Amino acid sequence: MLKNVRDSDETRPVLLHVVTKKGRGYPPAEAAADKYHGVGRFDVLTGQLEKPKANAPSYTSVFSKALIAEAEVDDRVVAITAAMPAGTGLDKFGDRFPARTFDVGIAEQHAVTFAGGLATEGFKPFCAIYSSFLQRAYDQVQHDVVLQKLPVRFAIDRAGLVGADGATHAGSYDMAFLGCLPDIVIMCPADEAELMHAVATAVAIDDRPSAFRYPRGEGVGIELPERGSVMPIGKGRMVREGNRVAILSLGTRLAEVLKAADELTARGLAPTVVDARFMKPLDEELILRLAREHEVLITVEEGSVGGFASHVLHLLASKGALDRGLKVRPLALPDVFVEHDAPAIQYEKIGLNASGIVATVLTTLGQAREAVSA
Amino acid sequence: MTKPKASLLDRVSSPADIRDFSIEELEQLTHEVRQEMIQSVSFTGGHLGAGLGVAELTVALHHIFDTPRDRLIWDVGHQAYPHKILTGRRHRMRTMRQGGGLSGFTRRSESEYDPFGAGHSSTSISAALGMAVARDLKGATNNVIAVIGDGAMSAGQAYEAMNNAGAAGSRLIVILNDNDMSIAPPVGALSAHLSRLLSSPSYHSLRHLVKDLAHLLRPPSSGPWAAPRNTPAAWSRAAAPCSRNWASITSAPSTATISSTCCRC
Repeated sequence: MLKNVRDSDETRPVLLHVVTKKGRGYPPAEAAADKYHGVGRFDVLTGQLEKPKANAPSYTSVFSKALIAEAEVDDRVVAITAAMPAGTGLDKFGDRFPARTFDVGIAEQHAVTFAGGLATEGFKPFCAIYSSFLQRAYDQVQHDVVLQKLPVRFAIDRAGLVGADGATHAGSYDMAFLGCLPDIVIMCPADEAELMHAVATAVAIDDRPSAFRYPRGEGVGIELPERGSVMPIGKGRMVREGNRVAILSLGTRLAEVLKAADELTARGLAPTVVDARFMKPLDEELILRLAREHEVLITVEEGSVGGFASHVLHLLASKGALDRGLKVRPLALPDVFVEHDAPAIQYEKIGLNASGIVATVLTTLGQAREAVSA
Repeated sequence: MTKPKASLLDRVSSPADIRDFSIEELEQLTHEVRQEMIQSVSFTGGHLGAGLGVAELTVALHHIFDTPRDRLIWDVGHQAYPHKILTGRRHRMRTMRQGGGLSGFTRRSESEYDPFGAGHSSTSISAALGMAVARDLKGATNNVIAVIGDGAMSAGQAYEAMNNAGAAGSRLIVILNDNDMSIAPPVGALSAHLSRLLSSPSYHSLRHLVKDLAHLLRPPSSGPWAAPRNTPAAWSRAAAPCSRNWASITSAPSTATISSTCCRC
């Protein structure tokens, strides 16, 4: 057949339709083609997938449960996936609410505008798309949803580094490309309970678009409520009150920030720690207070340049908060594509872990002392 | 210009006013809408050709369908000038694209007859499917109609939406507005296919194309499709024996004809 195609005199494009079977030749994979599409380690004899023992539920599963809990009490909640029902956790939502779940195929552009259509009719669409895949629908996000202020909720999974999936699937840019759009609310929960609050808050935000981003992998093992609580929009939360140094954290790097804070406290440098909760709108009052009352302000986020720190610095510069010698150090993803590796190694390499945060604080204070003594 | 008859357009403040018009009255109204549009665009500038091309279609759609209860979505929105003239915005047409005036595209905040804002191409089927699914979830019975041009059919999102619509099982009307042009002559195999269809001796209407597309959209199992609900009277004859209904409206330069077809007959 291929030879015929190769030797054909046809000058137009030729379509050759080949029928294959996913997982062919390996019975466990033939039986469950979706489950074996991409796998971790597994036992070849039984096909049993090796599940690393997790102490805490994955963010994906917490999102799924939280959305189901919300949908039980609000029949306008509907869910959309672009061919990733299992990956986004919407498969379970679909089991519970088959008529309110829409798998539109590998079609992010359509998924976003389709969600816009649902929103015009009073529904509360949750468009669950991985951060890196949402890039494919940017015009639809900006033009069809945000410009029309339609209350579509973007559930952005795989936000931040993704370990073995590497640079192609890293969710590095969503804060940069969403944060520049007017009206949208962007939440970055710091742990799995905060994710439940973000889902509840997204249900409540019905007059404009909203998004919440959460990473691949497991949470921190915190106790979960039955349902999330609606958060005040654009308000951060004080986690620890300290002095001299303030660490303004956004998202799930908070666990590493707290480790760093413990280490700094042991060195007699107890820092203030704030969970910003919202990338947009910023808690301006709280951030300006941090700037007024501290020598050093460290921002921590798991996203590219152009994201949270850029917005914080824009605020500080606009309000003159940088005019009095405040030392600001933004910790974010570096301006390179981070290659696939174990997540812990990735964070170590780029300094987005506790030791990296401690080092940044100490270096900055050292520089501050030198500047004073000079 | 002499007006042979009293103006019909002066009697139209909303599409409800044209539902009882006779064919002759619709033809006259179309002529008046076209003249009105030429006058206003000559004053404001803006998109002229696309709107002129759909004058018959616009009048026919608002005559047949119960807008704004039936959702009418214009892809891109630049061809919606006649639509604006018929939907209560005639007196503001000379503010088009001026500060504080009408938008050159459809816009939700401007009129309840604009169910979805546009400006960029190829989004109408996606938005329409969202509205159709929402209607079914609510148990409502309104129609949802997307009008998309052959130029806009060169973008991938239109195919994403048709692929999903073919499987979703929600009643949705997609009208292919085939004028063999986008801003420039359109490129691509589908456009060439349309051109071949139109020039081929065996061409009868866009029916073949719609039939082809509908075949492509049929699920592999070919299980029974949900019977069309809420079928407009004009199409019920053709729809009745079919398991899946597609409707096409073809417009020629001077006349508008409404035809029906389905994927299996």
